Amino acid sequence: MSVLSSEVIAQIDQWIQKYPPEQRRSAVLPGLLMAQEANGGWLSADVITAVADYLNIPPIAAFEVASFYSMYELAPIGKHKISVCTNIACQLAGCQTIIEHLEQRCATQLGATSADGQYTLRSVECMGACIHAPMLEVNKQYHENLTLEKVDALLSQLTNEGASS
Amino acid sequence: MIDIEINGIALKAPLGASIIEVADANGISIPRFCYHKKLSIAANCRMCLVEVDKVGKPLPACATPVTANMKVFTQSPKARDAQRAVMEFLLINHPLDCPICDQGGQCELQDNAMTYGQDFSRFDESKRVVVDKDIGPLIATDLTRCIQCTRCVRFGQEIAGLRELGALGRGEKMSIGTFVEQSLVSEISGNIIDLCPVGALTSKPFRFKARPWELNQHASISPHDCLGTNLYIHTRNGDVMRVVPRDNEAINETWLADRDRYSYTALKSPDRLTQPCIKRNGQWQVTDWTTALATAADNLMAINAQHGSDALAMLASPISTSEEFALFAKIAKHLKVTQFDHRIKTQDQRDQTILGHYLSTDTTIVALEDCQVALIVGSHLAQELPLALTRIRKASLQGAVIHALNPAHYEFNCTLSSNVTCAYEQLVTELASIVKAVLLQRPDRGYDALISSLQLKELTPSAAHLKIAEDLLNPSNERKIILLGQLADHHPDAALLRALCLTLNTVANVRYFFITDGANSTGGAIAQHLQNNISKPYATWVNNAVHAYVLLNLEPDVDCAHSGALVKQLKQAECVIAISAFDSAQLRESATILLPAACFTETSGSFANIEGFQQCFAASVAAPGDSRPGWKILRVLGNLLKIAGFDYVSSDDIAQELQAELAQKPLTAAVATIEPLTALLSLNKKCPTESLTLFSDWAIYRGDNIVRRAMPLQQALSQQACGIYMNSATAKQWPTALTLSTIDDRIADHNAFIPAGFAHSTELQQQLFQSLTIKPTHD
Ligand code: SF4
Ligand code: FES
Ligand code: FES
Repeated sequence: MSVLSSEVIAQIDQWIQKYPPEQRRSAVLPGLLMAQEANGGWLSADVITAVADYLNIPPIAAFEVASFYSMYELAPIGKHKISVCTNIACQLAGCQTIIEHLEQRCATQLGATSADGQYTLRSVECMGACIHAPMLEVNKQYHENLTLEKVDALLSQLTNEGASS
Repeated sequence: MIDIEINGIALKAPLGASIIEVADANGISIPRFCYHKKLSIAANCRMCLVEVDKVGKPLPACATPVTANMKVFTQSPKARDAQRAVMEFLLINHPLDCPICDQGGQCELQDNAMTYGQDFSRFDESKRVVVDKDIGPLIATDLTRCIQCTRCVRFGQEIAGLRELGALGRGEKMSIGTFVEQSLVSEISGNIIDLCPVGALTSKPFRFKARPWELNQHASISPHDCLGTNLYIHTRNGDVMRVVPRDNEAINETWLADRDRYSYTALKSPDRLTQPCIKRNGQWQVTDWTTALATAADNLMAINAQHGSDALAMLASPISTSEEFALFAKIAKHLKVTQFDHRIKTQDQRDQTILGHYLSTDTTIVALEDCQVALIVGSHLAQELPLALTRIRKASLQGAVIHALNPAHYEFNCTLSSNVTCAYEQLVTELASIVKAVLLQRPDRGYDALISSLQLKELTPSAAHLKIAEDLLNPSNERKIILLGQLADHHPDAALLRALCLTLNTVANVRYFFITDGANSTGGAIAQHLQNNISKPYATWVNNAVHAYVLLNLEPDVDCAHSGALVKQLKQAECVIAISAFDSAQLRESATILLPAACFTETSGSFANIEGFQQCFAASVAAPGDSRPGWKILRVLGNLLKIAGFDYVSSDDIAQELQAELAQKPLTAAVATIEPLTALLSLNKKCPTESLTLFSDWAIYRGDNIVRRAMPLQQALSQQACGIYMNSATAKQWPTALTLSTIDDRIADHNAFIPAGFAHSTELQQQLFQSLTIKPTHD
């Protein structure tokens, strides 16, 4: 079986369509994202190589992209990846307390994964939600105007989801 | 041309040039890190900021095109301020420990900091540290020193065509690295050492061995390939410390192949032969030059007198100098020896009787990058002539149509229109089909005789052949080149391949470029040409029983196409005089007299490159021990053989005589007319067409006695070890008991490849056929 499933290939193909034929490499951002999603949320060297090969670019070029953006994970991550904005607006609005709280509740550090494999905490740059700072993103959902209570509620919701599924 | 002003000096500048280019052309210095004349503009270091009249902000000189009446100030307070500020930022994360950095004394950052920086630092926070990576035996990394100019990355992408390094991470954390930690494979990777403005990428073998200000620089020429790459040899106290490129736009531009850069590491090999030795009663004895040479001369004269000149044979390696070849040929002529040759790696010279000797190309190295169509036949170009490939790559980037025809699917690091893989024994037929396709498309010219010649008669060109023919005949393609590589040159039907190329040359004005061995095959050809072609090609007398051999700079067991046969013949010979810089067990077994010779860094002389361009060089260091320059050894041998006129005092005397002779009788490009071509194409094919064909060629760092002893290159070679390479289907069909077989799916079907130049290559070839469970029809 090839590293990329036919579904992922089909998705990448859709993106390739959006660019001129000689700009096939433009699909590297969405391509890596889709491959990551299909690979349990992280990009292995094999997956990066497969995406690069499919787009006819040198593997190092895809790796540069993967190492540049914070949305790509280069090692296995926890079940829920919580991305907390630490850019200027969120900083002014007190993201630090949110982070400390998250670190304590999830029993891990920013940038790391909890021992039970449930949570990965990430610091990210501005997500364009400054008017409702501070904010975080988890499972493609924005959570804004964060307070410690909101964080608690979110975490118990995530835990429950985990238990019910 | 437009008028501009830099620092108040009125200048003319071509429209579209950048400020930095105009400044460089006029000797005005602007500091820079990311800009390099051979690379694309990145404009990411900002060191080149200058003030431009009527523009508020300072502008990067490398990325700002000049406009009419522009006034540029490179030293105004505003410009100096900007430069100082950039310098301060660059030094924030750069270690300030030049005394322990290998780049110290030749560092662009150090130089610019001296000129443009401050003598104190306001930064007392902690600095970024980057973990070093192991990128192979040739290049050392010290990535904390990287200033992220990306020259190394752009070199890979733009010049080498092999993107191995990348800028990983982002912002302050950005670092240079490979994808998965691996050694660089590019054959020209060492150039990033010269490009890196700081000490982040340095030469591993040279690292911490010497300071640049202790070194003396000597201009020289590389002995390893037919381009004649220009280089500088850096010495200290009589030792070669390193080799760096010397700019020559007509040959190597600013680049150096790794082979040329690192081969110097062999000079200090423990294998160096430093004393003349004679074998007496099976025992080797060290002797003096007088005895050794007198014995050699006596032996030669005695055998000549007793058995005639056919009992003598002389072989020289194509890395010998023109002066050595000249004396070698004169000695041969004096002794009436017809068995002398330098084409030791080839198997087929049947065209010599028809065409004589001619230049290996009727075009130039530079023309490779201007061509519109190139057809590469039988060449692993990246390994044979790495810097010729960078030219072909440039042509390809400009839209040239490149076709390749090879017994394996080799990479060319550029876009090819077709990369045809055919069995080794089919190379002639494939090329002949292309030629026939060309001839058929020109029915008006009366090429019937050619078409009905043996090689073309039965062929029906395929669509692929017709396409190549079309490209070659397309009237808008004026600049067309056919390259024959070493796989073709060493082919048992090389004469036919050449004849086919010359046919294209004659009928379709396709320029030819026949890659030859070593730095000086042309010098060898000139020597033979000047002796009126009296020599017989080595391939024709391989198995003749000979009483005495003279070997110049070669190792019989690994340097010849017929090494197996040669070693056998040497064992039976009475006298084998080996003039060699290196000792080896095999040489001790075969030879009877060993005469220690100088390497290219230790002798003066010249190499004639593929264009026939003679380039002289002087000795950079003294030869070790009692070893002497080859020309001196041959001169004294000539004296002892009582040859008249052998009183050359310097290699220059020989060179002058050679030039005078050459002026009378120049070696010219081949001018083939239809008749000789028809005759050539009617020669019988020799290449065996058994069901499993073996082909062989010298591995990239196994081609001559110097590179074979350059340890860093040998380490870099590890992925290309001696063995048997076949594709998976062939391996299944021809199972062999040998453990040395490796699957390489690039190889054509029913072909097996054994890299030559290794001690076991020849043996392995024989073993392969013995071990096959099914026997091919091979004699
Ligand atoms: S390693 Fe050297 S050449 Fe490469 S980016 Fe860093 S400073 Fe520039
Ligand atoms: S700064 Fe946090 S969302 Fe913009
Ligand atoms: S040299 Fe101009 S920005 Fe680097």
